[in-house]
Amino acid sequence: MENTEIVNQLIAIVKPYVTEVEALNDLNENTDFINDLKINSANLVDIVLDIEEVFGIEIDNESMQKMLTVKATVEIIQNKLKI
Amino acid sequence: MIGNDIIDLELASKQSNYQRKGLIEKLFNLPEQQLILGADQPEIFFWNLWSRKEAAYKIYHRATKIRAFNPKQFSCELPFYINGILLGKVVTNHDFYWVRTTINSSYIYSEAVLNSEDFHNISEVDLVNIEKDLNGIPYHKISNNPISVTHHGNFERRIQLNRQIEPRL
Repeated sequence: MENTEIVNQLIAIVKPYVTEVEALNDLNENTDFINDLKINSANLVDIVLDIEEVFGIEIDNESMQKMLTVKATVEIIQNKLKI
Repeated sequence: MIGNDIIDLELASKQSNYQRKGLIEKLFNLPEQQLILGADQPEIFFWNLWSRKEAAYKIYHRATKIRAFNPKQFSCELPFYINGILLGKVVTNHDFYWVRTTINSSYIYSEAVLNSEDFHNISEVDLVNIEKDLNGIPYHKISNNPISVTHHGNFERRIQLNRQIEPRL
């Protein structure tokens, strides 16, 4: 899957949890879910569960730890899709 | 070292479905899951343990500068009530933190310290006195005291750990 395709799906996934909706317009690979999009830390786990469902992958603890930015999350999804 | 976390219970129940399939397993270790599911009010207990982990994580982040979403690295021991406040340890592989939690019908509020004596040295701090370093870690502008800030829904708490002043000889 192309990175841009993953990013677009990721935007759709995070959108319901974003409290700073304008920040979504400036989304890039360095965007931080908590610092930039002001996503509640308890909702990060919802995003992880949504990613598992949408992409049909399993996110282990070790991967989940790193899923704070768009870049890290796209990398993890890419790697899991290869397995 | 200091950390705090507040949860607006009304907002939390709108933002999160704690019963979502697979959710509790990603956030809590098995003994914690058993405590939550066996509690009289599982949802309150869920947020109680979550706020304790978050408060402890803030000290961890302050000490290590490492940012990570690793809630299972922080294990809550069963807290016990002392004068209406829940007191207990949150432990990691390397460290442990003392955490005290207040619960009422509107919010759950936790404060974490490294030594339990430090609970006596906590005070509220005004927003104007807060400065953040490059890692986003707050300090008192003038005294340089460590500060922790938490905000959720209708509630906010800003606290500082007053440093021990050595007696003048």
